[in-house]
Amino acid sequence: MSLLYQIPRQALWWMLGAQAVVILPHLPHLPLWLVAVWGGSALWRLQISRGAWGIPSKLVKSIVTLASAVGLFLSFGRLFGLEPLVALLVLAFALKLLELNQQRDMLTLLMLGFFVAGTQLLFSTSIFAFLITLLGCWSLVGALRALQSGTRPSSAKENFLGSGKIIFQAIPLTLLLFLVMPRIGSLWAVPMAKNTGKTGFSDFMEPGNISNLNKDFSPALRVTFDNNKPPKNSDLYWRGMSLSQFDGRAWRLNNLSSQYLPWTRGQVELPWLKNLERYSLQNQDKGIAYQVMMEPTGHPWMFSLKTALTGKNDIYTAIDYSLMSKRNIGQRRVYNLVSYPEFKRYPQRLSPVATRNNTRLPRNGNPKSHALARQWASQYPVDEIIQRLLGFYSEQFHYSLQNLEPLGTDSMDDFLFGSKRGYCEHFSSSFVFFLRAAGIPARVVQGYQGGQWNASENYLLVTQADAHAWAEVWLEGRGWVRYDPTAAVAPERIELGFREYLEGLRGETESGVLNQYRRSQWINQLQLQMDAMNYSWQRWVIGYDQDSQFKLFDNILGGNDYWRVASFFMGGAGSILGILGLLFWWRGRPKPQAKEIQFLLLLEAQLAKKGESRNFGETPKQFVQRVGEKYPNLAPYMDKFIILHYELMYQNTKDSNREAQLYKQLKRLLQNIRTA
Amino acid sequence: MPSFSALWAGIKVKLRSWALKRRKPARQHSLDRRNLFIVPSASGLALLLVMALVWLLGTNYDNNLVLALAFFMASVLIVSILQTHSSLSGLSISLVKSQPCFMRDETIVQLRLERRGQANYPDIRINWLGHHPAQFALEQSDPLIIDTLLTASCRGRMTLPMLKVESRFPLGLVRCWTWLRFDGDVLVYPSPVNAGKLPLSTTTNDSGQEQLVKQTGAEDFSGFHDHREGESLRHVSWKHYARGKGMLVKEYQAYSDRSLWIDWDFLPGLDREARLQRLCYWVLQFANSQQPYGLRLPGIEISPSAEASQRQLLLESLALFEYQRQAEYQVLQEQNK
Repeated sequence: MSLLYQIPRQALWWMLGAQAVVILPHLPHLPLWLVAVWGGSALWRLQISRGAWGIPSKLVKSIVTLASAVGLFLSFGRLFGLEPLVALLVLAFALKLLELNQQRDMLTLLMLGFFVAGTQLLFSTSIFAFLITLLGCWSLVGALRALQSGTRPSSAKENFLGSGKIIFQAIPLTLLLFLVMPRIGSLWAVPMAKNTGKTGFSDFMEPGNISNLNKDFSPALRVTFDNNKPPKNSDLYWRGMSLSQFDGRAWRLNNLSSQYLPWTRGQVELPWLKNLERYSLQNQDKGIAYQVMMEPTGHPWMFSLKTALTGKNDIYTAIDYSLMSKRNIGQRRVYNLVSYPEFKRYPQRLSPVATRNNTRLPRNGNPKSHALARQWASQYPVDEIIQRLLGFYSEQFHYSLQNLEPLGTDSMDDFLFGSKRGYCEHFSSSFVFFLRAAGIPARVVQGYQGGQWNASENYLLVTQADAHAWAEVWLEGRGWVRYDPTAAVAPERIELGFREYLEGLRGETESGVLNQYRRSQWINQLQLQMDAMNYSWQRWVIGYDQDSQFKLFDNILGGNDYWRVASFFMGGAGSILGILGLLFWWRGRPKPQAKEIQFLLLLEAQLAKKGESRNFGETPKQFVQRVGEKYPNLAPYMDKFIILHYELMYQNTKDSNREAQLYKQLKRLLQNIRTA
Repeated sequence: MPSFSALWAGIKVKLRSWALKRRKPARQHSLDRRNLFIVPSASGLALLLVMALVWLLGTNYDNNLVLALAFFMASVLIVSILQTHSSLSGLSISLVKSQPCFMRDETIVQLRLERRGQANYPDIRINWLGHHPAQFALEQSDPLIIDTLLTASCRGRMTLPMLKVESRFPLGLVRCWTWLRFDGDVLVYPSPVNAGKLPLSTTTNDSGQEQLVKQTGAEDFSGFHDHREGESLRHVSWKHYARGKGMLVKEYQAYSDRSLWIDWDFLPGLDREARLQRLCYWVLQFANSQQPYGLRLPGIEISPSAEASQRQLLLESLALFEYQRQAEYQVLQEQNK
């Protein structure tokens, strides 16, 4: 093995440092013993390089590898899935240390390191995670550089600065590539990380599952409006999905076959979507344009103000105008929408199937409610029934977050005529139940209500605590209309938003349990600022997708044609590389020659025109003598020239007058030689 | 895959002869963008592969940061192209001198590395075609005189093969190199082959008379040699024979002319190179003695002398005797074997 292929000690240290920076951020989703495996391998490798321990035998290596793989299986209980696969990768990354003999092994390890650093970003896309990854890359590049240290090992500082220089030189080009490179989306299905599909809604609603969310102030949606002004709080109903099937206790999605079928078959003309598109063309000024950034839910539903139109073809508009993504949302997702609040959904008639689906109730139970509903239905018109019902809520019911009495088998009767204390899910559920019992088509809608406006960054933050449920009622001529019985009971909840509402409850009886939510003003401020920063990061960096790319091209290039983008890219890359090239040229630029030598060079240039050049090892004097024999007419000038030149070079005159004089004479001699 | 490697070797030879034709031999070469080649090295290709994998990871997970990492890796590769280029560009290499040597021996060729600007050159790998590279750094000391090893592959004035100058600094992801031709050669003597003692021979002196160089029966006993068949038994040392040491013949020499001739005609039946190798051996033998010695080659006669310069003179004429300057492409092919 040639010396060129051995691993310098310094490179090994850099490698171990890089491994630490790359592996440690993986800790939250790795079994801890894996770190011990890495530590052990690192120690062993160091001992090998010190000559203290031998290289592990094949048997030892196989045993360690096998044992660790089995350990991984035991720790995770499965091998397929993102976490176990990443853990396997980290394991390989750690154990490869045991067979690090040549530069080639080291290179393999470093390349693996870049990949491991990449997988870390699948688990967290925060600024911090990104900075850590950058640091990891820095140390990996440092290790690469240490491997090429040349004839002498460069000091740690030198290596750090050297690799840092490369990184900073690479950043402008990285940015350009990031902006310009097309985003083609995923090519095949990949296992998702476990922890990303966290809180949020499920596809059913039963008492308790929304109020559970109300303790969670983590962000659900962040919304920017194109005109930077949010609609008023009482209009901010973020529709998720409509639930129209009731089993006596829980509300569920209608069976998928009838409600979501059309788009499962692929590109089918959707009549309801056609209506909306036609409306949007005629009423462009009535649209509200906004961008939603949604936290991952692990479900396909997307949230929108009613009634939303999307231009993207991986988002479907279901028959009830709720939006669904083609795939479950496992990553933070950004999408642009235009909503038309005044658009009427199915105003003329409701199909028999839809009517049946939205009036159906279980036959048994809740006799009191049924009876009252039937009585009202026979006495009053539809509008009056709704108004009376809302009046009933506002007079007799209380909005409460806690100590709710459990409801019995006749849950609606218990609630409407018994406890009368409840939460949005109770109100919406009983409201829809009552209307259905009176023969009016109605359904429950789940989503978020309100949000907190961040005035400094101009966006609306909707947290999980803003989860809400309300009702939609079909009225002839008006189509599906939103009614929120919760607003009738606790109007301030809707007008102020949930957080403000909680603040308002201070000192009142209910506030005891809410202490945990109450924060002093500045912590809240700080939190908002952190969220604003995070949001900007998420929106501009993480959420930079094809849409934003095209928008950017439209803005700065006036279009996103292929040639514009290509020439922008070539121009950008060209100027970046040009500047870098100039930088390198400047560093290696020729040293300016001493003035005395410059004159000699001028003479040589003159003589080169006559085809004479100074030979290797020939002194200037010998040279001009040789040339002088050939060109006797030049000889006197050249001889004089050389005498003066030697005086300048070697006589070290302190006399600047004499020097100037010499230069003058040399100049004249050069002229003479030229003209002669 | 022998066919592939054969194909690759063929392509290599083609490429090198192409590079060879493009290069003018010179005493001095400055490296710049006109003569430097640059391609990703094996580790650069590995980085590209990993970059592709990271990109796949990023696009499949719709993860912009992972994509950014892939772009970053690409950028590092591109930036290191510039860096590696600048780690050779601006360097000038000139031929200082070469030492004569015997065929198939290694000789030292001195080169001078000089930088045009202020830049450092921490990783310069230099080798003559077909030789292993040695690594140098040009940092503080400027200019730097380096010794490079070159194996003499043909007798005579051996044209210097192409010199490869390479750098992979700083990351080893990119290989920047050039092939240079120097206007210079190495004097290569035949490699000496043991030819035993200089045979008894009559030689012709300047006057053209035949003369016995070795005369039997003269006064000075000079040594023994093994009895050859047909040789007279007069000088056999019977004392040695009786002791069982074999038949030795006592030699008596008297040099009428004490100078020695190393003669082409001593070695009939051998081809030219074989003769030259043996003559070379004798030259080296006599160079250490105080006796004058001379050389006879067809058409060349160098009269005996005991001066120190005689060795050099004789070796040179042996080296240059009927030598053929190898065409460079032959050198190329030979060294590629």
